[in-house]
Amino acid sequence: MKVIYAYRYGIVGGVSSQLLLRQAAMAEVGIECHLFFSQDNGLRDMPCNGGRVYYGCDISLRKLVLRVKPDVVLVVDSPELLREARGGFWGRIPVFLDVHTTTHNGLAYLSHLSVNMLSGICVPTKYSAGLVSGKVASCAPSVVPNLLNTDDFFRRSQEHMSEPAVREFIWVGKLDNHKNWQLAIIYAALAKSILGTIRLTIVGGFTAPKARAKELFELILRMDVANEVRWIDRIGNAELGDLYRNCALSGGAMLVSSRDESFGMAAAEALLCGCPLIANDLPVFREVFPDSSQVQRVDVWNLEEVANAFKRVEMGADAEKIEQMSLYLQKQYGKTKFIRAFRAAVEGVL
Amino acid sequence: MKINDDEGVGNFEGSLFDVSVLQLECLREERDRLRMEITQIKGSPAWQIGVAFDDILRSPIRNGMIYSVRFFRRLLRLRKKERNMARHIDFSHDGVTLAALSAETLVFGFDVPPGYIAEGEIWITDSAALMSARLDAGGSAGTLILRHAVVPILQRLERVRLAGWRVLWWPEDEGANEDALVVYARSNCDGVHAGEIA
Repeated sequence: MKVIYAYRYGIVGGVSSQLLLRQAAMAEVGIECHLFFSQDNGLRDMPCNGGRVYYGCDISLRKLVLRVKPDVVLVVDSPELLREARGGFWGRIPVFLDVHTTTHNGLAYLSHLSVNMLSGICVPTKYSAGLVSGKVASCAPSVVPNLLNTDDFFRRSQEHMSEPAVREFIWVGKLDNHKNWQLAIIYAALAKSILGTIRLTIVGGFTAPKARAKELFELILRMDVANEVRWIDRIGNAELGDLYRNCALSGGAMLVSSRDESFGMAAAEALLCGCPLIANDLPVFREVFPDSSQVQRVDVWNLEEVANAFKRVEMGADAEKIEQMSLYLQKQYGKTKFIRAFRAAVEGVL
Repeated sequence: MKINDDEGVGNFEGSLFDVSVLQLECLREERDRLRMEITQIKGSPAWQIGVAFDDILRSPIRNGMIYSVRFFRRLLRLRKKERNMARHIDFSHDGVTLAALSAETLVFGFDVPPGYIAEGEIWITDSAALMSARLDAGGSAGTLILRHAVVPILQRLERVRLAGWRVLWWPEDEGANEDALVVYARSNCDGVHAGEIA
């Protein structure tokens, strides 16, 4: 089987990284997967799985479809690519829409979508399926779960690590409003007032506009946390895994302040590394993550709840609980489940 | 896991209140920004053209306009293609010279700090774009001296430190205003001014 995934943003992290993971998993079972990104927002600089990654500045999607002759094209949240994804006039290719966005603005395009040009809609969670069904009543979405990267995100024996000097916290995401990035800095100030010396690493935001980046530095100054907060705008998976493991070892946690998520990839990867979460109580997290002391669900606007969560984060948490969580995630979001769900979603129309 | 006893619970509650006020301020700022964005979008020529087109497409002369719409679509596609190519250029490292790649010390500023003795070759630039491109290009790590603080370099600061670079904050103007960027640079570099290690 030949597949093309097409997406607007060739960005490091987020959906683009998920597509790279899916490409590698498909290759293992003999599915030839090509990735098309309309824009290169830094992804070209990252090592990819032996090619088959194309950018809009080099080739149009229509030309790629005509060249590759795929069995199916999946367009991810990029309605402008749907027409081109069908290829030439003769021998139209089945096109699926893969919806990963969950924000109100992000989903707005579904209201104007001509559904009859689609062979189906895929989403990563039941939560997303509910959101999409609300917009496109005539097409029931298939749930194709995200894949987790267990090569870079895993637990390591504490014997091989030196204990960090301060309690480390981490926040990961683009500096977008729906991620509530300001709360990360506000919570650094809160954690400092409760726990004393701490360190918060903000990861992501390579493509943030200059004005947004300046806002971040200004808020750091305003909250008096210049010594506590550091910003890494872009990072490789291996290094990110190390940061999560350091957090876990130091008795810190990952902070997740998003208003909404389609899956919570970064949060799942942190858990794989044994790093506990202090996370906004989102419906999707209740679907993806089982109840565990590793996941503290809080109302991010209730400071007392967040403060109590900081106090509850344990030094050297129960190894058995960490292991259970890791095994659960590997089983639920591993290659086998993904490939099975993917085949079930697309093979009906082939 | 304690509320600092020396400071007392009162201080903790005080900080909670301060943080709440800041949270509210952040939300208000965001609301104002979004309102301004909507006003700007509605005042933009693109929006006005869209409204005019919408009116026309609802009118009986719609059929006559179809060819014009096709023409504009082609025009938009061409513009998009150009924009994509421009974006690609933004992220390339074409501007990085071999001298920049091979230098062991990089200086971001107008000149090398007086008295600084470099062990190898020095590359100096006051262009944030060039320095950003050099830092994004990777290569072997050395010493980076920052003589002023600008957003594109500061956003890369921790990334290059993680890659093994030693970053020194050595301002050209020591009496410069302590703005947010300067405070962040001073707090997060490996050494300040004359190379004393933090």
